[in-house]
Amino acid sequence: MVLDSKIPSGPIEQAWDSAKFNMKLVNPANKRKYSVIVVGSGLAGGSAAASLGELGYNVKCFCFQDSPRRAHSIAAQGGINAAKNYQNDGDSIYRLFYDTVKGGDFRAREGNVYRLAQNSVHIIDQCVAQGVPFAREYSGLLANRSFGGAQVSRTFYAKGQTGQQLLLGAYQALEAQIDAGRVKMYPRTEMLDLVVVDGKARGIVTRDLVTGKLESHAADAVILATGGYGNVYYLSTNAKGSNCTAIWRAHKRGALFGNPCFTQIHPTCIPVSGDYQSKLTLMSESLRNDGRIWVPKQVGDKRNPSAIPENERDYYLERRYPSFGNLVPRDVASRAAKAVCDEGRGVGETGLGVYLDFGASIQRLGKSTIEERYGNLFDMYARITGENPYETPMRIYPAIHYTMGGLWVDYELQSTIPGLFVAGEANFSDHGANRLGASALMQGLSDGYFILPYTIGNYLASTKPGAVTTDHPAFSQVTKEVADMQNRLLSIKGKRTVTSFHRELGKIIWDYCGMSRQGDSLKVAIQKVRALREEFWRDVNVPGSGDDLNQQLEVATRVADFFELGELMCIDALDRNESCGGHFREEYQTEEGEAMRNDEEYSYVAAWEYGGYNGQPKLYKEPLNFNYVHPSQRSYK
Amino acid sequence: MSSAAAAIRSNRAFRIFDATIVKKAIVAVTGLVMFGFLVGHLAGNLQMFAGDEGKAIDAYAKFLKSVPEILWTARVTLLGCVFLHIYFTIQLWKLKGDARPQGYVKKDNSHSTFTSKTMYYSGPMLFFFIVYHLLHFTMGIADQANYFEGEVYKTVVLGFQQPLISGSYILAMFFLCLHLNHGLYSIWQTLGLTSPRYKPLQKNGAAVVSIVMFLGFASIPAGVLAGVIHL
Amino acid sequence: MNLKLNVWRQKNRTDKGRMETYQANNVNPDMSFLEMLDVVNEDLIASGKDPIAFEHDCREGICGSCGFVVNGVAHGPEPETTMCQLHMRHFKDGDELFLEPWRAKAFPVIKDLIVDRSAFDRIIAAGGYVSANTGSAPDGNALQIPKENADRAMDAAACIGCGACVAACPNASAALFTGAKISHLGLLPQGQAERSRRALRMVAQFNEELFGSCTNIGECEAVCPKGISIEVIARMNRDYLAAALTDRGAKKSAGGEA
Repeated sequence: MVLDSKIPSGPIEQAWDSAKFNMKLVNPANKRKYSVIVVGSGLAGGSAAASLGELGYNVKCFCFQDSPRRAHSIAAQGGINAAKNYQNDGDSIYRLFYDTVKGGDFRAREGNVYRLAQNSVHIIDQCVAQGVPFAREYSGLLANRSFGGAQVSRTFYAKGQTGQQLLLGAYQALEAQIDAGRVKMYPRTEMLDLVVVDGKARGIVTRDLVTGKLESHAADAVILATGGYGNVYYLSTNAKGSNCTAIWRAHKRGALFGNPCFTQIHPTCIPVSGDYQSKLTLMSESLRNDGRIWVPKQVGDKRNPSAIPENERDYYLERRYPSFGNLVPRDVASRAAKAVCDEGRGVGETGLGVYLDFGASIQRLGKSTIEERYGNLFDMYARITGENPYETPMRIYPAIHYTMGGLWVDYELQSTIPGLFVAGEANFSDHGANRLGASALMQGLSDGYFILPYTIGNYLASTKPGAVTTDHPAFSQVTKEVADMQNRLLSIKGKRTVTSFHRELGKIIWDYCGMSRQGDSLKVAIQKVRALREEFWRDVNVPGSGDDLNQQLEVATRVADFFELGELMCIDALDRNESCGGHFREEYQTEEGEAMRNDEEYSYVAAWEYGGYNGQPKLYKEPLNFNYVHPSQRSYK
Repeated sequence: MSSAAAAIRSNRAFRIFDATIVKKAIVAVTGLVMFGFLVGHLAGNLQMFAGDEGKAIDAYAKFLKSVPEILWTARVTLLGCVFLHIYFTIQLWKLKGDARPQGYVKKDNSHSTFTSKTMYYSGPMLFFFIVYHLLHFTMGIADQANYFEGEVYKTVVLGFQQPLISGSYILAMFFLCLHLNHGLYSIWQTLGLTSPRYKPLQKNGAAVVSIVMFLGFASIPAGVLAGVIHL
Repeated sequence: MNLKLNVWRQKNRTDKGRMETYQANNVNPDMSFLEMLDVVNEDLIASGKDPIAFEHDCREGICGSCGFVVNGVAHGPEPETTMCQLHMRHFKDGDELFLEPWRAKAFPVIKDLIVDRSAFDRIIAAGGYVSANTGSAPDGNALQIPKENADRAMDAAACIGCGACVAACPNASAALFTGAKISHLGLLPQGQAERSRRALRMVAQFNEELFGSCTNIGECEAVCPKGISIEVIARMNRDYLAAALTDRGAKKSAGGEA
């Protein structure tokens, strides 16, 4: 198989326009004859379903939550980037493009990223028109803030709830289409498999999570917008329900998986407090603007932080990176925290935490200024930990937060299965090896509002509508396979709960394929994951039956897929003998301990083909060319 | 368009009196009209304190009755308000049961004020009082022995000299106070004529006015009992 | 600490349901309420019993999935806190807790503490949006919106659609939810064109779903995890009454073409 990225030739500035012009169109009167399935209702799925409904297609949208408004896009706090240059500070589409390619450590496609930067400006316009209450200046014009390493102020925000407001905008547009009868919504319905007929995606098999009924849905095209797979680590900032099942089942049906090992760790999360912990909570990165990060110099110093004098504190980021200090990028800050904790200097009961201290800032700026800037974050911290961050330093620790990897797609967001499109975090496309802050929302909406409505039409125009119905034997075959797997899970009735397996799997992936990876230990991890997976299929206890609402069965199905994906992540990490972005291989670092890329050999997208239950997946490489932004080593010294 | 969407839409047809907001607004407006009457009524009643053995109030009553067109318009309007106020309240009260057929084993309503929680009790008490009040002073049926047509002052004093009657009047005015305390604030909220800026004024104003109304009305039976008002 | 839990158990929509008692032992005060239930459930599974079903997703207080009534209070005793963010340090050893699902005709119980809140989606579908098809938008800065209006719109837009307002309301009214959306969009210039139509249609749907009538009591704002004020209900009433009384197209726009 040759991976054709379908990036248009010619100048990058005109690529998307010419691609759009060259796309085939579906006659308005014919659009309603075509049906499109959208799985997932977050920023990408919700906006795609609404926009396709507006165009007149017959859309079916699915989500496992009770309402499309619950999708995890809702939890994004900080903001959304757009190259509006409203601040007159030198921003431009080209600069956003440049920053994103560089921030992704030169492992993203230039063509995709340029288009993303172009669409960013339309996204803001669209969202304002929908009534998204973005923050405003006293002039009544849109406000911006700076974010995550960018040297310009281009982030639009709605308090600390930007994701929520953007999602509600898409959700409301979606509900309007549902009311108009153009979109049919299937909440509490989980996609469990993809149906491929004659090499084309033709539908899905779902489970009604209330009645347990397995159902078939046929369509002319299928869009997966099911989010990332950070929950493979068990503890992550993702919602509890976020899972990889839809993309993994599609992968097993032939869609290649791109860069599975590219995961992002966020440095400022609230640390784990005990074994019962079910998820991690992120604190906005903006805290690092005024907080100073430190640990005790002495190993095992368990004194109260206020009892540790200044000269016995190690402000390790300021020491190691004098010019960027506490503001080094996410991956660098995360690894540095891990390093001091590995040395035994971590703080808190578990020893997995570092202090984020506002003492100096409060002295310098006054408590009221700090309260004004970070009040809601401090409240959240106090609510969760029961400690007052105005008096005692916050404790933070890195946590998994985003997955750059996902199903491989071409420029039209089409996977290697014709008719199967993948959008948002579920695809691998735009962030390379590291995502910049405030770019996830941008990508989800760009895919859903401004790319899929064109590229889906291009695909459908050369397809006969309704060519395959659910009467096709492929649907009953896939349904049977889904039912078999479900029955197998339910019949084991072993001794261990699903959660205990998930937690153990997560710990393996976190320890071996988390913030730093190492060749030999990745091999150990692969063996461990396989052994645990065998035990899972032997000894898991999924109570109840498949005939009604069974939350344990839902989780068990997802964990079963996480096992296989976890293994693929380790395989990919082992194969990539370089360090780049979120992927840090201990063998490949500079003398100062910084990531060392290998552009000669690894400037490619790793796209994996499913290799069977115990088989070896097959690697395909899509070479990356950099014609505009030339690869350079990042330095934050 | 799918048939399900069509069904939803046809059900959404606009029928003004089906809307709970309209029903509630009618309750509010009729309540406001009745409150307006009460203010006038109280002003008239306070003439009992004129110390002129009832000359003023008797003349006032005579004046009111001298123009039957106005009198009956007022009476019909008020009766209409009472009817609508109760009729729509009963409808909304029924909806309360329909909207939550199965209650909680344990429910804490500690955030609502006492007066708001007791509207469904203070209301019926006032209704019974009004019926009695009309039978008593307007029609002279309840206490015939002490009813003197055209002699308001005498009738009131003789009536209130009976502690049982004046006691129940004072109690009824306590219920009126409770009802007005929530009702007067609630009117603004129901009609949408409020904002964070005016809300404290509306809330405290309702409390003050309801207490003033109580003191004003209760002062008459109390005054009679205390001997301040006498024949 | 050890707690006694009385939990509403109901197999499905048609089951009658009942309270059952469980013991939660060795509860760590740093656990969230839902993590405490996770642990109880792990024990139930181990002893061969059906775990307690409750809805949850983001566990950081924004998705609106979680929520049930604890000792008569929706989302439990802490103000402006969802169940997933409520930590056990707010309870003490030996406490007896009653956990019940949201109770409303419009929110039928699906299982245990899970209810069907799709009525909320239908209220939004009736008109809780600005019709701005993708691609039709003018520049974001073409409209100047006074900061104060944008901030107030944001306060109303913070609603997470959890349903606590309905659960807490003695009338089972969805006025706070509906009013929040009507206020959010009604406070912005983008929302003016459809303001009357929105109020008429959303309120009609609200009544269609058999939610109760608001009596201006304020239990809803007291339990709202996002602190939304009943001011939004007044705005809804105002918009609705103005539309019903003045809009000549009221009949048409409520029932007519979308």
